[in-house]
Amino acid sequence: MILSGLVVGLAFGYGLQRGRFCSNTGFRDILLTADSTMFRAWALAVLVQLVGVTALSTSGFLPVTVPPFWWAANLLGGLTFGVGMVLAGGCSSGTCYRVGEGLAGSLLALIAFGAGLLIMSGGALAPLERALQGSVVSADGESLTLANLLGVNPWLVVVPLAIAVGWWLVRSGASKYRSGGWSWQVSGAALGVIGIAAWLSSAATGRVYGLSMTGPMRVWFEGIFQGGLALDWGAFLIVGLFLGAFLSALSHGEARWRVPKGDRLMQSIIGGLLMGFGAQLAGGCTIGHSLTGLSVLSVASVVTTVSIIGGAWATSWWMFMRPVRQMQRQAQPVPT
Amino acid sequence: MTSETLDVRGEICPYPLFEARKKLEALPAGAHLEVLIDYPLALDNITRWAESAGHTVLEVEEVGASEWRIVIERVG
Repeated sequence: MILSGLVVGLAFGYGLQRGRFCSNTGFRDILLTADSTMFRAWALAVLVQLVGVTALSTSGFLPVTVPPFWWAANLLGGLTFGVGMVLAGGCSSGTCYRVGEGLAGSLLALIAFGAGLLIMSGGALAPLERALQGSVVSADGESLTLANLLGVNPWLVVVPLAIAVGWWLVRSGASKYRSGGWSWQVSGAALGVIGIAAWLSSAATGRVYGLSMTGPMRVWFEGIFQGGLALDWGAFLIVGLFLGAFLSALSHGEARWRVPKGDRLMQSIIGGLLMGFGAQLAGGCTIGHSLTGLSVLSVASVVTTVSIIGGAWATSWWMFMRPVRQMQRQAQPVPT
Repeated sequence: MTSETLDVRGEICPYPLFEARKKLEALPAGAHLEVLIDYPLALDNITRWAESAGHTVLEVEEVGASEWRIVIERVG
């Protein structure tokens, strides 16, 4: 049964690679280049999964788990993760599928991500994690969702959201692709369906959650560095992800060893480390929170996602927009 | 006519786009910039940005396995 994680992982890795799907690109480029193409893919994936999971859970077919709302940990963890993913050039899933494509920088970021998880979860920074995750806000003992926060049926939140986001997506039209990848419509819909399949097949093994990277990654890194590897559905999801991304890149002639300059490698390591700290603190990343957690209307996921975007935007502005502004200000008027 | 080359093969996201943008905006109008990349997402990103900023994408050539040469003309 846990091998279904491998199958979902293969599809997930394949879809990420074909869709060039990366929350880092999606969140960052709205600000950086005013290009919302990747953001639309993400929004569609969230929308499909939100409607699907709400339908399955409210009809009793699927049990769901909602991440607890540790407001301080979600806020600070999200910000840290957002800064880290811009430095590393990819969120956790983006980093993983790029390892499958052969990016050396992403491989280093991934190892540092694992180190960050372990340092925060049981290592030197564990006291910080305990302190920040200590204050839980819940609704009568249940994890906070947008529905129980407002005291309404989940559909009363999902339907207006779906109409608003759906309307925006329908109006936003097509984007131009030259690299032969999937359009945002195809990658968004595919990843949404894969997300629903993840919930169903994972819950069947007793792991009641959908797609996530942080927990399964920690399982691998703890098992490798500390021993006692206990393979579950999530651990196989990760194996499938790497394999799916690699096979996709290979079959499309896009697998290739790519090594950036030394200082960029250093930057990837620092970014990966920050992502590990942040993901562990917040209890998830752009997949576990910003894709899966949002499908159960988790308030923790909303806060973490907004914080990730905040951290990513601040870092993008500092690293990529400020230098361009300065250059434009110093530039001589260009003769036309 | 000015013509320059930028090699951003091996770079991580979003440096190919960032470097291309800085380089292109430092060139005079009408100049051509040749950008060498090896990452598919950068191909989409760079050409989409250049067109939205009003520049002209003159050429996109696949020169090898996952390797492209883009030529952009600076407009205005």
